[in-house]
Amino acid sequence: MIRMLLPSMILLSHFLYSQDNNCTLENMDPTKTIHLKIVEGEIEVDGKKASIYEVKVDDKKN
Amino acid sequence: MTRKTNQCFNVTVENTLKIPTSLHWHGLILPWDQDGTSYVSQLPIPAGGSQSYNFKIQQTGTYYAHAHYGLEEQKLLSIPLIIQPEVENKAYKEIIVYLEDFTFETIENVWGDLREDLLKQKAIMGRNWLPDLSVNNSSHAMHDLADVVFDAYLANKKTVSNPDIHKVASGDEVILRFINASISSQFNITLGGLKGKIIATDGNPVVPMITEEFPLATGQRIDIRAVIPKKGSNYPILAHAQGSDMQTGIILAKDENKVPIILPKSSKPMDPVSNNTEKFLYAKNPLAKKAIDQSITLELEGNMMYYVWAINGQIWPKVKPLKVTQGQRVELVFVNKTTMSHPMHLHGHVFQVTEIDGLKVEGALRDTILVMPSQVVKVVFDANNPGTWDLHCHVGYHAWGGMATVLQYEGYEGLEIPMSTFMQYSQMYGGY
Repeated sequence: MIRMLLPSMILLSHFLYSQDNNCTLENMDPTKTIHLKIVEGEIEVDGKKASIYEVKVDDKKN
Repeated sequence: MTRKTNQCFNVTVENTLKIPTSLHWHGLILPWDQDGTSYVSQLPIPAGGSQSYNFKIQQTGTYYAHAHYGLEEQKLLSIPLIIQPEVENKAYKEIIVYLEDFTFETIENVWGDLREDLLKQKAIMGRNWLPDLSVNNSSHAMHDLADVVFDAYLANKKTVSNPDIHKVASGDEVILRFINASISSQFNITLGGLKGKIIATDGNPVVPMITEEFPLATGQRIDIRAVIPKKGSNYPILAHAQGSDMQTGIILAKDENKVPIILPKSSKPMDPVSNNTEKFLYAKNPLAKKAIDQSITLELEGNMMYYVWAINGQIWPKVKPLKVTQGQRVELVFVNKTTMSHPMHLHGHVFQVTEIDGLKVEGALRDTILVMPSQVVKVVFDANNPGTWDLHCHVGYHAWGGMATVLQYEGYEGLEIPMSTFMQYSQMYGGY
């Protein structure tokens, strides 16, 4: 399962020593791809805002 | 968000920034050309571009992904990445403690300050002047604690004035997944009266060890298992940054109405974070017994005043790759000749700690090991993942200032990048 626990957090399920040998760039299943987006964001620290870079799971594409 | 997954990593990263970037899958064993390291395993993802990654996941545990382009980690460009076993244990609460350091300053200003003396000296001596790396001109004879004064330390993107609070109850079993995603800070972590067991380091199981306090260098992860006792109400889980009096953390709260107020500052600056805990950690699944085929010594050098760092006299990006052969058992001997600690990180492999200052250990499996000033630390790994891999200090400013090299398997040449491109890249924030 992949799910969000924190903002911008990925949790991947894993199959140790999987028999699936098709995990290559040439064999990406587009229906199962996780789309991440690197975006400019904002954080507030001690009442003051600052620009940061964030990794977001792209909900529109996932 | 919940969805089904498959047996592949299968991730596409889109860069919507106005500048290039790349995302490194820190700690994962993966094909070298999908490691996400700018100019080592791939070209940076240009503004508006994207890059795909797909490989078989071979590990479980606590990892993260972070920018591997310039000093973009200072802008907090990273995410936790947790890999669960096929059959998830639902009996425990999983709590992430994601630690970062934060400054309002721009990358250019921070780097410019660090390199100010070097620039002044170059103005006098000429552009190609370099300081003597064997001269200890630190203001501290034994241990320099921090290069950068940060404005705040964050846990799960929050300060302790408004901390992340997790509701717990007596008898709950919790797994605390600590990730030091800071660009530059070493933390000492206290569990606020809670007794826990260290069960994994950098994603790799260790023989459980009881603890209430432990170190965590930048790039490292530690998993703690604890049971919430009947006595006590709330547990502040705090991280104290080496050389700073500031602290950050989260709170495990039985009663959310009685959450204690945590002061952002402790009574005194944090002493040097030590790697002593490492001497008592044992890998649960150690590497097979095997003779060492090749030993590589890495002398960690630097000139504190001029802020130039090196490995074996070579200053990144002008480095000659360290060569290994597939199938070898390789020993890395880290000799720290500087007055700062260096968390050394090897990409794409897991190593086992075997010796700390002459004390032989059958230590933890890791991908990042803290090497303290004047210390010698030995690790071994199996050269079983061919390619070209970064090997560097995980203090971002140290790596950018030269303490980085490349480990390359025989028969691999890496990317064909002209040195002029490397030089242009390494000088993009100035300071040369």
